Amino acid sequence: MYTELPKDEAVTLALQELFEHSGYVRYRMSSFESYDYYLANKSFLKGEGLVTFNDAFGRLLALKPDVTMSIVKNTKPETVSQKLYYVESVFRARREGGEVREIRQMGVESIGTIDAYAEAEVAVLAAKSLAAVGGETVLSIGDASFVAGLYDALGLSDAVRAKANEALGAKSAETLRTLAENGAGEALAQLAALCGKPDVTLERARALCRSRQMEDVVARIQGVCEALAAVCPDANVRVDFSLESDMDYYNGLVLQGFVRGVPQAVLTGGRYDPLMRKCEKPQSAVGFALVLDGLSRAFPKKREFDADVLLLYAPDTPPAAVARAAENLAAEGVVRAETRVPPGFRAGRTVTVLADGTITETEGSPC
Amino acid sequence: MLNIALPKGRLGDKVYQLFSQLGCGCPELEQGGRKLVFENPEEGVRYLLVKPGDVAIYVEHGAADVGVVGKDVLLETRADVYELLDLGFGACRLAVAAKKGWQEDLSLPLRVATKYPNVAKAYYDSLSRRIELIKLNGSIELAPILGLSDVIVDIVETGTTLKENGLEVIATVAGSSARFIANKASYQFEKDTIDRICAGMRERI
Repeated sequence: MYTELPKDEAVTLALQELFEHSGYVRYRMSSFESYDYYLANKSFLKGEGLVTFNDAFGRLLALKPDVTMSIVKNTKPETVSQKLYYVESVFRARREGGEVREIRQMGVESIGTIDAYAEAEVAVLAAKSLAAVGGETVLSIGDASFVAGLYDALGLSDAVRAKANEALGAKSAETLRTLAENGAGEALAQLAALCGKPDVTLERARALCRSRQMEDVVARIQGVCEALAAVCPDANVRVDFSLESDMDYYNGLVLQGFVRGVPQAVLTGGRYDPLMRKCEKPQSAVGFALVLDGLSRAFPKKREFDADVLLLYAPDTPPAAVARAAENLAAEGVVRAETRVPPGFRAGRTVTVLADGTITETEGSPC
Repeated sequence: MLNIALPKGRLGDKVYQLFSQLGCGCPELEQGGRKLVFENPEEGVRYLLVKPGDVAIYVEHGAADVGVVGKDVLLETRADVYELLDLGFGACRLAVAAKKGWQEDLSLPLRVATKYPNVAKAYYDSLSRRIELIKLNGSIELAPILGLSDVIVDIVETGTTLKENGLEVIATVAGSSARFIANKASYQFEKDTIDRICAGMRERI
């Protein structure tokens, strides 16, 4: 589908179709929002800076840095269930160097009572989104509450938890081993290695469980994996309990999607009840975002020709004759009409349309 | 094809020996020369020779799937990569050094000369100490001697260079040694290969 479009644009259309079909409604956000809101929730923006400016009345505004936070802000406390998707650009100032980046992303947010199916639905949409991107993909599934459960069971202090999260994000088993004494360090190190095919990894995760809560998490992730196996049997699913999961943000399911050729995760998401609580919303929420930038680079359009047919016409040729000729040639692929051959242009074949509508083969020279 | 970023120099030679023992050798690389990219299609590996300070950047941006880099560089660049194994060699520490007998004046911001501005800033932030950073690219030991800075934050291996320049270590910031790192996306696709290399290295160090 949409084979003539650059990858990011084709994916945008395919995902819009997918999300609409799944009952998700388009959400559009305003380009500017009050700076105060983002400042109050700065910890959720993962250290990246906001782009701020003053309006005509001196109020400080931020160029939209995050879509999820805007959706949360606009969720009414009495809403029972809302399923939204978005296609938006967000703006962040890079921590290193400070230059402003525009990040184009699409995503879904499911807000309300999030039960096992609601989580599985979002995971399935994530898998289908990766399939729409194409190529070789991996969907990694983790759970922040499994990690938090282990930290609780081991009695880690807040300071050690912060270090453990950092080491877990780097899959550094050695660092994790040094963070706690006796068997606790070893249990943390094993967490870093909990990554692989669902069946095997969930089995190893069960062996690491220290509480009923952790066992429940494993059962829930198993449910998500079974749902994925049922409707996306071709998806390359991994369970990874060492997925970098900011526990201030996520409190359950964590999703990351990878596409071969893109050096970072293209899809990130999960269950983010803490943000809802911080914004005084009673509902639970789960969602993900897929970053569109970088897809076109990973899937460059390799075309032998700039156009399959270059249609040359004289400036005084009646427009109807050129339009009819272009229409007739459309079945051959990309048709480009020009009065002369553009410099360096590669055409599958070059034809000229005459004033009477006749088409003649041309040797690619300017007319 | 697995792309491996090797740091140029002694560390890179040692790391290559390790890869070679694991069946990832590349005869072309052993011949030397000025090339920067060496390939062994039979073993499915390609080596990229890069400046030690750039290894983490190549890996983070996916130009290389894996690489070996000092922990000091990882701390400074804060590269978002998996740090899969501490290879143990190239051991040293990041330390604060000053002229022998130097007395700190707490009423003034501390002038810190370093090649590691991020590490230095994070360290002094953790102590709530106000500093003025002076970024240098080499011969850091000169800075306190000439009064350019009060202290330096730099790599210390044996301490001989410091000693010969009349400096001494006054605090240790962090330990460092060579680390085997992987790009986070590459790891998803090449997990088996990377895990195998990692396990092989663990047995040999």
